[in-house]
Amino acid sequence: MGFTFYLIKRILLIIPTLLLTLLFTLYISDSIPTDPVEDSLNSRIQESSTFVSPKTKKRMYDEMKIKYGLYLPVFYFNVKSSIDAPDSVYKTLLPSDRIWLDRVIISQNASWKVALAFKRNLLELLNGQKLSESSLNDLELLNNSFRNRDIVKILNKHKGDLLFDRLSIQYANLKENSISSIDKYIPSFRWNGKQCQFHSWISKLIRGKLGYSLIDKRSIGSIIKDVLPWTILLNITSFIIIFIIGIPLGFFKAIYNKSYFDKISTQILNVFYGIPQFWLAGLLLTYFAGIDYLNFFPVSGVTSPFLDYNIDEGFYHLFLDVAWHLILPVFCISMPIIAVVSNQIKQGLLDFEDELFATTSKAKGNSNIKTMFIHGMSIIKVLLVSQGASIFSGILSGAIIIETIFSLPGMGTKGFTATQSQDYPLLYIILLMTVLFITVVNLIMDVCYTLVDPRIKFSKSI
Amino acid sequence: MNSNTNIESFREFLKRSKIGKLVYYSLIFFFLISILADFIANDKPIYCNYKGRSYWPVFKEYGIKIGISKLESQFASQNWKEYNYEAVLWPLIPFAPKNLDFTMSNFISPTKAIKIGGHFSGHYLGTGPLGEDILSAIIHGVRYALFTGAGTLLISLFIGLTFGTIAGYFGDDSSKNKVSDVISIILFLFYSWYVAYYLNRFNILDRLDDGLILILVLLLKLIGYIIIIGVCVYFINKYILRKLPLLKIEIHFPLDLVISRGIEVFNALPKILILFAFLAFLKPSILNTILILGFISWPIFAQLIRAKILSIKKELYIESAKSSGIKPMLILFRHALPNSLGILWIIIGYSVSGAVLAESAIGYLGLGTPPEVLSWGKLLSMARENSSAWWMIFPSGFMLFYFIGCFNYLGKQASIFYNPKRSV
Repeated sequence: MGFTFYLIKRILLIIPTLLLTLLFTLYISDSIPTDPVEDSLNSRIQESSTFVSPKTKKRMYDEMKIKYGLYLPVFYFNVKSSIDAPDSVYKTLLPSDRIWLDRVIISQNASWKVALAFKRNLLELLNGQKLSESSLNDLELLNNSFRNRDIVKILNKHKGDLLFDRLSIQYANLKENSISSIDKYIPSFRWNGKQCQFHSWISKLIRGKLGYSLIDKRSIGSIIKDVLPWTILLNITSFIIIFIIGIPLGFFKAIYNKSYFDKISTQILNVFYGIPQFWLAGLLLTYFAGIDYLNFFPVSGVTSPFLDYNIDEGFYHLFLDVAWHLILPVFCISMPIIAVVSNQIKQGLLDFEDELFATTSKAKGNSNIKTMFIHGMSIIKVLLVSQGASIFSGILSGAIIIETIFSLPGMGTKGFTATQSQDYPLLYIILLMTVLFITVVNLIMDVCYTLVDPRIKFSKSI
Repeated sequence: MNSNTNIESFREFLKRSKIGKLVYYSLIFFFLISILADFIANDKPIYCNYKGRSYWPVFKEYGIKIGISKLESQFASQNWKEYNYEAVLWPLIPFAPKNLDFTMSNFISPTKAIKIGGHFSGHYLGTGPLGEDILSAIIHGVRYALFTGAGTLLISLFIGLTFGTIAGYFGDDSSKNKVSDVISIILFLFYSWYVAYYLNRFNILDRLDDGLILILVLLLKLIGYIIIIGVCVYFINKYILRKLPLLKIEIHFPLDLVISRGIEVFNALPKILILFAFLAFLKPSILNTILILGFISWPIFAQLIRAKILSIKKELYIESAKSSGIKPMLILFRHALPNSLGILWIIIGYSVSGAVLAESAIGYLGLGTPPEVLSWGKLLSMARENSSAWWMIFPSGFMLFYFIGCFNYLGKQASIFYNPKRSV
């Protein structure tokens, strides 16, 4: 009864953990003052090197937003200052202009109507008639400055210039009509209801639709399907390698305590524990995989390109090829953790040597090795299960960097490129998957812990 | 409580072994280097006599950075090597890391650097792709590393201590809270977010580029806002909310559960991915990296403090303080908190080394640091272009390895020292 209750409670607690992760990442991406859609639009316009008027740009921007489903407000409600411009005004502006408006309103206590008029006039001037080089530059500068002293400096420089006169008058108007600074301390709430990105995204997610990547327009489900097996392969291989090498190593280090084998292996493992993983990876890449030195291993990827496999021995060749590619990454990921695991096992075994049952076993005539093997195994079991979660999260976080450096087609590399190109939908899913991974492993390890060590009582703990 | 757990006896404990002594003096050495880096490696002379007048250009630079003095007009060209001084005292390494020596660009090895031009060029460890002096960059790298570690430590300590204390001390399952108290806490959190973050979000972003002094001023201002809001909310709660009939009811508010769940979420987040995500949008600067690292590495501090305070609450002296009628806040700050801070030493060493490791890892991948800042990770990433540049790969990598090793050892020794099972 107690155990099932505990299990159900733990499984149900995964949901709020995932929700909190989601809200946290959503808040991050929303509060950062850049807009991925506008950025990609700008780079597309720059590539085509044609002149695009602001109206066309706005239209293209709106089209892209609607296409990706990003035109809705982000969350169920939003909080604003009561002096901020209303949402209907925001919808007519590009994000960069919107941020300009926000900044001027907050820093100079300006009324949004006057500030908007100033900005509209400025944009009109920028795209209207032919201008001389210097005044065009200054107008662009004005378009990007928010502080009072910067704006006044530029306006004063062009005193008497007809172009800037209207702007100066408008700016003076803006300064005159500034509202009292107390108003901005009053927050205003706006309830968006179900018409928000979060709601539509999460209701699609529940139905199993992961959405589309902003960059390569593929469905995220198929991207994950391509990428996930490699990450799982890398992690599981490292996990197995850590167990195969770490446990016997710790065992023999405990048996031959303070021998030369123990001392030398401790020193070597200390080096691997302390060395930064990315540096180790870089060194191995340079000296064992580069063309300048020993060319033993491939530089990147998980399979060799243009390799033909016979149908008969296809799997065997593929296996060898993948193993050849994974040797260096797995080595980099597992070495530091092997150092930790073997040290802990050695310490655990040495601690148990003083216990009474060990003495009894030795008194019965069992040798040192046999005693350790009979009684030590249960200790190793408990140790590994209690450390399992931290071992796994160590592997996972190591794998993200190592995958990126070796450019393996895994979740880590995809996550890195997604952050670089601000591909939010993909990034959310990758973050969620990683958090889900870690919480599920934590749960499994906790459950195993209660099974392995019967002294643990699970009913009260959460 | 073990009386032998103060910092002096920990120092003695550390210095007992040979490696401990080495680590102890290395830490002092790192600290000295980071303070004196400008006097060891700089492109300006420490002292010079030019046209009959004496100048102290390195000291002058500190004045210029703070904003209390200006550069003399005769030194406006900033190329300090071209003047004919009557007397001059150069630093040991006459280059600053951001100072590019274009005559020595494109990876000149240390052995070549001696031969070029028939005289020694001053590059003891060769140069990088654009003529950066490597030794100077490594020496200034100590400063960046310590700055990253200390900054991250301070931020995560502050957040972790706050949440850990709240969860451990107030989040007891048995205690009940008045509805008005819960409402005022939520009010306080929301309004301090609104004033300190929402209204100042652009200010914060701008200040990140403006330098340390202005950031400190802004931080003090924001903390001032938060304190004012706290006082206001306290009085509103005391004189208005508590008088209302409906809000007098006592309920069980699972504060501990909420904070523990928050800690679990932050622990489950892959830190390196979050770092990537943030740094992709923010301007690359050391301060940004420190802020983000601090904001994602607080859970371990909160966990430790929470566990310690939960165990301390059962001690007799807390019981007796409670029964003699001392207010809970006073008990917290007088007795519970001072007695639980010792446990944090365990995590301080690991926290610093973890922060430096993360910073250099993202530097290695080309994120996080602006072009003019050469941290060790950045040096390693620059060396990826040229695999034969051993003078870049090994010294900076070794410094990183040694620095991290020292702090890891500190953490390990602290966890042995502060282990309650340790026999004194």
